[in-house]
Amino acid sequence: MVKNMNKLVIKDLHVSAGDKQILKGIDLEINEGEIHAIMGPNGNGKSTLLSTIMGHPAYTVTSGSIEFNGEDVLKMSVDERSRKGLFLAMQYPKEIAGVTNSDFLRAAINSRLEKNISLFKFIKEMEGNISQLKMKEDLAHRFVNDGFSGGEKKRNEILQMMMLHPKIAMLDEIDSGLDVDAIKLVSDAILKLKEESNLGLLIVSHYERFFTMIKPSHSHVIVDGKIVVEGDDELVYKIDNDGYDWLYEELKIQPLKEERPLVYSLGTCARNPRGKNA
Amino acid sequence: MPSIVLDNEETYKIDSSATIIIRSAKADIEYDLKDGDYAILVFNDSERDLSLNDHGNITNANVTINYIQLDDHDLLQKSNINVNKDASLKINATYLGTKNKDIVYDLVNRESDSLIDITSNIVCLDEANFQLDCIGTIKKGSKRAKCHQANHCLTMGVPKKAAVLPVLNIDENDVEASHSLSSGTIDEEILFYMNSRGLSQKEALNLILRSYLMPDEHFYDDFTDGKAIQEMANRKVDDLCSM
Repeated sequence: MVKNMNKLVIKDLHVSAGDKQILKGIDLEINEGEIHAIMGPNGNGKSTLLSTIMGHPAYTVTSGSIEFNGEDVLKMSVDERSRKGLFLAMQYPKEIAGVTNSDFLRAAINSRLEKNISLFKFIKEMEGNISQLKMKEDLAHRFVNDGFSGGEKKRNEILQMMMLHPKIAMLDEIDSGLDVDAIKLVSDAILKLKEESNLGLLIVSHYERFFTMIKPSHSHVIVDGKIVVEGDDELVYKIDNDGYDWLYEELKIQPLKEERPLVYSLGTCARNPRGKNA
Repeated sequence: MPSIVLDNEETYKIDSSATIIIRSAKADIEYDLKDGDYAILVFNDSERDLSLNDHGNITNANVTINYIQLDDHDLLQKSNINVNKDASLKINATYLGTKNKDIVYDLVNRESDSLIDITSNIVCLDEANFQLDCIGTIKKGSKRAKCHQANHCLTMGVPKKAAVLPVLNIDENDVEASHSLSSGTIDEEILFYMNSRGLSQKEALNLILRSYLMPDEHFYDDFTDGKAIQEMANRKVDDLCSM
């Protein structure tokens, strides 16, 4: 029997957050076994693309389509997308105080099985993955991401990915917060999983070092909500060496400036040491 | 000692550790706990509106009383307990539900070196009308007494009211007293995170609520029929989560 290839197809995707249009027509196709690198300046839609595919409620798809293995992803709830085989490793993983990693992951695994995973099998698999990622042995009993360092949180995202066996995984700046050794560890784990399950990957990162280890088969640059250039891993290295300016000049485009919240002083009610108002 | 099932309206006297399962519409419990360490579990399984009145004295003893109330019926609870010299009372209260809940803790440090410590974890669901008055009183002459309370209130959906009123009446110097209150809703980003791992809304809420209401997974182990009560509690949380 011929096995159908896992395929995520995004067509002319337009997405807004509130009244602000962020994605302005994205076309992208990711097949199993492929590694797609997404690059681009901050605030131009990379994370929005990943979050939208996963179904984040803050984003509204105003037009276009997302299909996974021929099914309409936009009609699926977030959990359904996950159970179908999509996975998002988040840039800022949430802390869930009170819920242990073990309970969380078992519930997540059981949600996609007809019969619950046996405790023995779960522990064996979890311990193997914890050891591979060189995480602390007590991780299973710690609350999800609670009190974790930035690097531990990112490794925990990869651990979850390894336990949930997705078909297409999206990694949003998974390498930020990781030191050089941890980046190697994480990229080895990702590549092992890809080898074992022919995982398709969509990876957002700013760093060539990570992409050098992962070796993307495709790369795309998003500027102002559109993919403006595509290529293979050579494009990643060129951007790392030359930045984006050549692209802006060549294509006569301008990136969106990242909006940061204004920081201003509310004044002070402090008094000087002599007791007079400052 | 087997679990005590309250299925009539008589006053029940408690003088040792006990698991109390309430199945009546009215319950009256009188504590007389002396000279020892005691753990009491009061589990509401009445499946109807309940009026609970518990009261009594603790003398030269360390007592923990755990109230577990997980239901969608009205509750009227009045707890009036005196803590005497060198005695301590720790209260762990867990409430999850809808409808009217009117609860008054009236706990008194009556003599010196007494300790009262209250922790309540409350979840108010849609349409809940919840009021907790948590009153700690340190009587004159209760030197070195301690009275602390920490209340946590989580709202889900749109409760009619979720009010927690901490009160400290202090009539002595040389004492310690404190109160704290946190309240809020479940972070939407946490729900998205859990959904993105395959958990449905119900499964995610269930995990969060169980951990919030019963943070210690071995909590029930120490009580008679603890396993059975834990299963009942989980079932009640499941039922309430799917409402």
